[in-house]
Amino acid sequence: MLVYITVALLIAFGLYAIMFKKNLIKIVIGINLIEAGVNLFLISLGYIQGGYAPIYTLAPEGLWKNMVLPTPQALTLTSIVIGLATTALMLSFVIMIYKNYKTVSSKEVGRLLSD
Amino acid sequence: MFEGILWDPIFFLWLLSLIAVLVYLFGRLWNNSYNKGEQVEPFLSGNEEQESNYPHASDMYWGFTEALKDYYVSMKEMHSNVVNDYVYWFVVVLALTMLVVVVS
Amino acid sequence: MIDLVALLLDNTLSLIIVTPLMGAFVTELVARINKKWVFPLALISILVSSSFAFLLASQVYSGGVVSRAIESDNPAKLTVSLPSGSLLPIRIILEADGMSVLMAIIVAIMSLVVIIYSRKFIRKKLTLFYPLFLIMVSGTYGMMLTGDLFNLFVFIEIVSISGAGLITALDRKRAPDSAFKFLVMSTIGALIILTGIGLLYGQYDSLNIAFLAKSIHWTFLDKVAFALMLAGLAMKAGSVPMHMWVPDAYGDSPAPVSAFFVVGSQASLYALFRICFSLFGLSLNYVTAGWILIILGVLSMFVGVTMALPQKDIKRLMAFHAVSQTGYMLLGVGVGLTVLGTPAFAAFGFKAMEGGIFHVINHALYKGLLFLTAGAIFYATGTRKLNDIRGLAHYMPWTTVFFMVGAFSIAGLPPFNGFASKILIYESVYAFNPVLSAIAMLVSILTLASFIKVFYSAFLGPKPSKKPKRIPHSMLLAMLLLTLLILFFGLFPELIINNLIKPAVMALVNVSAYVGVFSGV
Repeated sequence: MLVYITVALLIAFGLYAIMFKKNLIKIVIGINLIEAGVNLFLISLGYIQGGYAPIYTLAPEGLWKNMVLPTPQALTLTSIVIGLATTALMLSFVIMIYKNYKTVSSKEVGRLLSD
Repeated sequence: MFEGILWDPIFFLWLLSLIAVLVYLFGRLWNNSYNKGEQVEPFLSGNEEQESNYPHASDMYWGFTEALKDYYVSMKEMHSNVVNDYVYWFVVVLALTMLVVVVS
Repeated sequence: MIDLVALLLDNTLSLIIVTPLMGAFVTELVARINKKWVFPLALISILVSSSFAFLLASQVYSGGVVSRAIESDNPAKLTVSLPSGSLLPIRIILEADGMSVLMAIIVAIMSLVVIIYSRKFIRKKLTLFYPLFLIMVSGTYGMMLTGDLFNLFVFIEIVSISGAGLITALDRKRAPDSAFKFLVMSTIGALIILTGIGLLYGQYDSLNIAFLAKSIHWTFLDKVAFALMLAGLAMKAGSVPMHMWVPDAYGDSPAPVSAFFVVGSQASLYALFRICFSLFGLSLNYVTAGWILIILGVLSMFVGVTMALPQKDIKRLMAFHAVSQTGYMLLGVGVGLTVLGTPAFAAFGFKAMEGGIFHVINHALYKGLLFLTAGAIFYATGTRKLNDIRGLAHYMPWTTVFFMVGAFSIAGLPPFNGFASKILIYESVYAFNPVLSAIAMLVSILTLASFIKVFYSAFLGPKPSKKPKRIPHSMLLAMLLLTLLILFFGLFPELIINNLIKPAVMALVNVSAYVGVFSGV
């Protein structure tokens, strides 16, 4: 249960940061928070208390039933990799925006764009 | 759906070409001995047509946007170019959808 | 030799996705050796994947649903039986029915046209464009052909990341900001969708759409998952009020990229329909979901077109029209979904869905053409501001004709293809609710009005003193191809509806065919 509360809090904090923080880098951090929440949610779906990594040769004999589900771990790994790519790309866009407008405030950029 | 001769686009094409032929034949009835210079130019305002006095695109539909000014002002506020507002609207719609789907 | 052909025929589904992906990496390598080879290689990989897409279409139209598990050649190995006696799917599966094949045909046509157009439009030095574009094509195909929810998420992210890169391909001034907004919105949308997928996985231990469709019980968590996925995909498809990234992304990207972005958004629209009809099709409350789609559709239509009217940037204007036209598709399919399973469905619901789905392919064609003409204007004059261009018809007669065809088509004038799908939507929606139909017609009139504005200010008027650049033949050829297709679709709508659209609608409505992949094992 504690896991799901953490997930909900992480996603809520992330959304709050994206909605109300004007600094573009803070927005990227907000997205990373949501990502962390979703990843935690995925990994918790297949977790077993006191489980082992889902590698046949590593789990102790007879305790194969205690291996955690491998699919959510694969999903989470993929999701982390995708998250890395988006974060890197977004930060590079922020650099380009800063070079063009000399600001990282989303409000300022919006004002400069609309006129 | 597209049954009947009136909904047949091929029929429309034939009709259009028939009209074109008729117009051409009709036009040939008169003689072509008119002055081909200034006479065939469209008369606009008497002033010489220049690039500078051609209306701008933003002048068009001025009446429409002026009549709906309140609507356009509020829409402009919505399209603020600020990324926070974009996400804000997404979260609002997400919450509403969830409410409607869960309650129903 | 025969074995090879049989192998290719057997694997069309995966080859469609793999060819452009391989092509992307090969072009990137080749670009470091000789930049001359980049375009031919990209063209070849697009040609190959497009022909595979048409091959797949013929397979599906003759033999029904085609499915293929990745990394297994034996269909019996798709599942494991649990100790409790039930079967559980274990492999990632690709699946194509009438609807996915229709979307794949759209991608096949548009990717070919866009790559021909890009040959001269994109600067020679900019070789990074082609790998990114190929990855985007591959991701779009993947979204349409996958039968696995997590794969869907991965392909959505592939399309967003490569799309964000493509937005900044030419413009380094305004575009980074648009790309940033696009990427922020896409990432949030995709993460929200992933949360929904996680909710489903947690309950039913599977990611397979066909398997999930059979096991969903419409519990509270299912409802939440449905709402999350619906909102996320509707945002990715660009419906009002979550459309603000659309004018930015479409407007500031290079014209061929905007033309392909239309298809990318429609892939999300396809996923939305797939979620509504196939994944939750057996358990959903049709009236609620249908009305959500209808409301989003009507809002998109109206707000999109009214915001398009005062725009001064030609591509932003067209982007707002893209939002407005998406509304028609949502309206048509939403009406179909609302009356699904009632006698009214046979009376007008089926027709409404036909109209909505027919509009998807028509929209891709004419909006693609319009974006390409906007790109031609930008290429010739170097500006997108409508106030600064006039009298282009004196120098660019062909582009003028192409623009007129596109504008008439989007406004729904006969005999162009926009008319064929719009009349279907008007008629069937009128039977459902006359007010909605009236709004749809009003929106069409406003569409025509705003394109008259573009036509009047950009093409008519006195001869410009500065002679615009000549449009290269490859760009004209791309636009000509789309024009011919538009005319063909407009002149023989019955043919297209019977052969392409009916199977697509049947595939959406008839859930058991899609779900039935697992009934045999």
